[in-house]
Amino acid sequence: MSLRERFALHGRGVVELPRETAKDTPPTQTLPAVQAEAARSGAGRSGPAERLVVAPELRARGTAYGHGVYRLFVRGRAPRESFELPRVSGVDPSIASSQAPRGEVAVSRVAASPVAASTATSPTRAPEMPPATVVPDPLAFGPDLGGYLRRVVHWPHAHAARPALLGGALARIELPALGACQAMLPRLLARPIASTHPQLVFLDVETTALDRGAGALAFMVGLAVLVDGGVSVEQWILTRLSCEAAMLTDLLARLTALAGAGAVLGSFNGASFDLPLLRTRMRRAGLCVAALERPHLDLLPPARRMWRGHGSDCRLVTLERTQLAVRRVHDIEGHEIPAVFWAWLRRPDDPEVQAVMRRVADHNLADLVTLPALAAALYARITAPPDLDTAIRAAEHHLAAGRRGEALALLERWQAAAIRPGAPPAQRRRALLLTAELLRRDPGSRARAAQIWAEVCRISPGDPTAHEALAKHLEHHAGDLAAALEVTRSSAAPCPRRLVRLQRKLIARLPLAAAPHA
Amino acid sequence: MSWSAPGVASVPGAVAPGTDVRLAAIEAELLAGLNGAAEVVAVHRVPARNGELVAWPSAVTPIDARLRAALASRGIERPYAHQAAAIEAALAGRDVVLATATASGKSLCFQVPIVQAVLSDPRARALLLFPTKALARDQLRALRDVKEPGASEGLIGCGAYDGDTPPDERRAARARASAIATNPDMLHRGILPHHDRWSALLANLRYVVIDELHTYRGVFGSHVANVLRRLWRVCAYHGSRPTIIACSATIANPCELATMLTGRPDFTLVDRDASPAGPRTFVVLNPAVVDPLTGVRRDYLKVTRAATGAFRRGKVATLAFCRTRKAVELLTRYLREDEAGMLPGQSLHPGGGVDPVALARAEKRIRGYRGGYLPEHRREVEQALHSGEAQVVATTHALELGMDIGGLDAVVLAGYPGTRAATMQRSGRAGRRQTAALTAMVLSSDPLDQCLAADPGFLFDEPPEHARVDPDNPELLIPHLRCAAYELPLCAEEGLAGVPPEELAPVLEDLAAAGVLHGETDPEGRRRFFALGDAFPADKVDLRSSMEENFTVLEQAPGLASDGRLLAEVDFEDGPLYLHPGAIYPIEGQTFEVVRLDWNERKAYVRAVEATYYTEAVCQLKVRVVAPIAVDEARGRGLGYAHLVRSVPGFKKLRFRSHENVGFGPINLPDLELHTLAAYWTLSTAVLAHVVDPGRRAAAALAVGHALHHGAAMLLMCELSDLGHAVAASPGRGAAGQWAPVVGGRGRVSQEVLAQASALPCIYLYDNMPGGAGLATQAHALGPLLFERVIRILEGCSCKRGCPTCLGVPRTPASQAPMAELIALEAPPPTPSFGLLARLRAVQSAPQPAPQAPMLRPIELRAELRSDALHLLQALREAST
Repeated sequence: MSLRERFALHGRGVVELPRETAKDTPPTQTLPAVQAEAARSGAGRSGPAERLVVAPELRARGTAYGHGVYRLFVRGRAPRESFELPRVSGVDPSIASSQAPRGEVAVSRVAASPVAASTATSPTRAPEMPPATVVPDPLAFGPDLGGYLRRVVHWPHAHAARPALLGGALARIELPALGACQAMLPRLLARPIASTHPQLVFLDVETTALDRGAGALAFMVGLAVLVDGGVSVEQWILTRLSCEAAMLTDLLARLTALAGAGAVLGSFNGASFDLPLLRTRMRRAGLCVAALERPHLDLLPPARRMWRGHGSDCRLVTLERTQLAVRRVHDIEGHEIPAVFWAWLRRPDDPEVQAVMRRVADHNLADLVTLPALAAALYARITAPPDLDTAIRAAEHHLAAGRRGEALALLERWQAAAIRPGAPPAQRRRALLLTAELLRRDPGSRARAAQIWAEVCRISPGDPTAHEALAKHLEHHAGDLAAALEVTRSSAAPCPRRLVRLQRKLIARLPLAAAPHA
Repeated sequence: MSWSAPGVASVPGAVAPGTDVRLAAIEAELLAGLNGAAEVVAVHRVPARNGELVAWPSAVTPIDARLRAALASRGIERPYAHQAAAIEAALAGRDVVLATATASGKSLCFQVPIVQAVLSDPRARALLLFPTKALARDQLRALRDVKEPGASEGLIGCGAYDGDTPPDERRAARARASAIATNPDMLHRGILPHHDRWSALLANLRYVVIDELHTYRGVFGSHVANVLRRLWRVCAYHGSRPTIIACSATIANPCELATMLTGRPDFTLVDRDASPAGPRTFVVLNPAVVDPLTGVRRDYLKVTRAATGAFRRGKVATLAFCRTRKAVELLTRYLREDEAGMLPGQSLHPGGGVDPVALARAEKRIRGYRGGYLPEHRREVEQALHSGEAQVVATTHALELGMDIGGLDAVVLAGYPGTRAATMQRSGRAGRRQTAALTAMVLSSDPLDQCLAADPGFLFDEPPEHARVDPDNPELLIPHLRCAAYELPLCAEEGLAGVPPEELAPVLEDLAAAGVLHGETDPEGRRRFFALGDAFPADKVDLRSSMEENFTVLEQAPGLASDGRLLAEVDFEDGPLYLHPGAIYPIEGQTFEVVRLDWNERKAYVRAVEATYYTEAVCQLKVRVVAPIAVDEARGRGLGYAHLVRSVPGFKKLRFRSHENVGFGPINLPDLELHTLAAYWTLSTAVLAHVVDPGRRAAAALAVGHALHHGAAMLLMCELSDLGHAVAASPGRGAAGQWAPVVGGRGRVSQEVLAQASALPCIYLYDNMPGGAGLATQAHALGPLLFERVIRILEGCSCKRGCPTCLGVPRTPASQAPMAELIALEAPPPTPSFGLLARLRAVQSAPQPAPQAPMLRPIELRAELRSDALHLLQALREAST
């Protein structure tokens, strides 16, 4: 029996067909019919699990038993796969139409290349309205380039000239100029770069899965290139999975050109998500990934350092709201995005799906546009901290990048504020200890470090860190054992070994006559 | 399965010179019937065999000197002929399947090629698949021990990758280990869906070792076959085509199984065992009849105790395999009593009158081993066996697979393990040192065991069972196709191991049309298929059907901050049977009483007690069809979603030693439920006109149920345990949803079943796993083909009266069992008042028949049964065409 006959047999077991139909029609027509019937009746490929769970009779039994029919089932073996796609929540047709001006579908997909034309036989891919009839829209996607679409949106500095996006959320966001951005780089990057005026390119991808399994791919890639007078956002959207290589090739060509101009890549969490994913997929497509190996400004680590503990979390959307005062309207949630792509693949001509895909593209665009603004906000706080807490975080940022001198200079500027009793004690302590820690490394400034430790010991009596550090200094550098012992003793958690050692040393220094045994 | 002991590889019988003499004495004792406790049914002898040592194969590549030095330091100067043949084939890149006895040195056959490959090319990698984590660890240890004399590190780096591996070790294993030991579940969920991260392994994969090949059969095996298909695809993508080295226990069709499982057509079969072996003796004992009038025999466990006692006194290392965990505990306890010299009236507990020194010695020498013991406890018993400290270990099948437990001289089987292959596998645990080996099997009073007693040729003259897999079962293949498409887009032209492109292409198109996959034509004009959806498809596919959380057994410890001392684990399905409040839970002879069972937390709180009895739960299994899928009302047959319920209404208290019933208690716990698929066929009145007598009718219906179950398992290439069957009165028109009591594979048929089957019987066949596996669906769809096949099996069977493979064995009398001859039976368990018959009796106050009434029936009845069953089957076949 051939595999297909077995599948048909299996299908016949699942859905009862009139015997004659099953026998008389060739299998080519039978099986889809069977499956369509299955889909209609709701049984289909979804196994007995879902079916049984909804049976009212069993539901009653399940509650009667308490521990549940469902529990045994759901945990015993995940219910058989249902191939229904998850619904995209929050699709409001009114929004969709309001966003697509004059009732036009903004994201249009046109079979342009001969390859695409050849697939017209496939039921999923029918040619669409020619692009000429589409009313020009600054946010419209171009024609199908052989399995992917591309759009370039210019986002000017001038507020009035900006396209309407996400309810105008980004209309008033201040974007830094290219020169300003380039000037920020030395303070933001973890490692110094050679070029003084590099091109700055922000990158963000939308993926088919939120994990990084072998089947996850980037179906949308956006690049934001800082240009004079604004930001030029280039976006690619995949329309056919089999053309991923073509899209990545095009993307890579663009990235290579930018890399040739000495570009620095910017992202939000790109170091652990976007870039590894793109590398994997490009390798899969047989492409050379050298263009991705650029100096990389991942804004997530410095943003975490700067804002951890301030808001609910450090997601980009949260930071936008708290730091840039951007409130997105009708934005799509990140976890809903994969489902949109699957719907887009299956129902490419459905206007509702197209409208939602347009929201995904806008979401991606918004993510990209806010990145330079976020970088500027970070830069401002690092270079000119408004308060002591920010100053400490800025110093920690410099320290993480190995810029010890800058960190120290910044802290010294804030030392007066740290000593002043007005600031919260915890912040004062942190600032002072950090300063002392930096000063300690240089023999010339050790004495100053000791002063600071003594200051901490004064403002927070018994502080183990400060006492420990001060005692070490007194014992090993100042040679004042008695003072060291005194400081160790007054610590909240004195180190017993130090205590013993100091006492032994002190006794050894006593004149013989004063020795206890004499 | 592991290394031969150093220095003895070529000298049979060189170790423990006294063993043979002692074994001979024990054998004589067994053959004398253990002082009248048992009858000797059969003695099967296999003569000693000389080993055949040959030179290391050098046709392909000479074995690396470092490797040879490492082996020589372990006493292996030269390989046996079968090892050399397997190693040579593997080195030449030919797929090998080894099917030789336990302890024939199968591990060497994969260790040598792997180490050789890594020594000649440091990038070379190997993947080793074991069915359990414990086996993987055991074999890894052996592989790490392949080291040059005096070296501290093994010749090659290796690591485990399974659920217990901590994250940093996983990273290290991925990056560096030359050999990775894992299990099919981890391959399915952990490696394949992340194959990009495993490219270093997959690109240089030289060998894939599939150990314990015979465990991959039935539905589980079919899943594994599909996982391997996915592995080959991913390997091909990363640029490797590994050679397969498969090791199997003795089964009828190792080569066929390897081919079906891996999709590779050309396996080199190595099944001629050239390792030396001492003479082997297999004695089958049947407990003696204690009451000639009723034919009741002695309790088989008591006879097992006597038989094992002979080995114990003879001081030979012995494994006693029991069929149930309960039997393990009882046997451990009894043997310890014997070893400690306990007298009647004394108790094993401290202060019970037994010499504490003797007791301590008994506790060291007699051990129990079963699933459910904590891992460290199990390791300890394994170690004690290995070092020789433990002399007799009572165990379940947990020790059947190739864990290295050192040399053993004898095996006792308490009851027939159920299959010839399992019997051979367990028996093969004895005789590891090429000395004589003795196996004693004590038959129980189960019908199947007694059938063996009547015809021992069934055990020794027939080949071992076939192992079957069906990777193309659509119910399993479709989810795996989705997993495969997730890993790499499917392309019809590339085919799938075992499925040629021309077969695959239309199926993929159909699946794409149905929305299961997403089909596209790529720029080169090839059709490619992708998995839709944002989650791992592999997360939704369980290779083994049960994933429910275990119960833990905790000793109540008042005042302790934690919950209590962790004593053991019990599988979810067994929880209600062993951990109901009031149950006695024994652990290696020590008894604990369950005080409280926290069902939702899956915790049982116990306290140590000095119990004089043990408990046994009464279990009832029933099935019904709840939602019809395809039903032919007129003919009373169809397919539907089925609901299987196992209830545990109560438990018995049985006294130790005498096993007499001293009490009964109710159990009030949730039923276990299973949702699955069932096919059913009603025997119409027209069909039943052939068989009028209700007794004959019930017998024939039960026999047909058995035959259908076995026939379907054969036709659908699954394990017997993957299916279940039930025979009940027909639900009648449109009355789906009536319960049918399930007929178990072993044991007795309840009065209720017989009463129902004698009316208008309906036969149910269901998938015995949550969610079903498409077996009942296929059985239903096959219809006439299935009956045709069952009739052919029946007609072709050479047995005279029905045997386990055709009509089943005669079942307990109840009131009209078709007994061919006097078959002795123990008293049936007290039937709780649930059955239809019991209720009828209660209403009519009819006197119950004496439970132990002897049932003597003329022999002709079996012949009638055969023709009756054939009548019914033929009628069923005609009705379904």
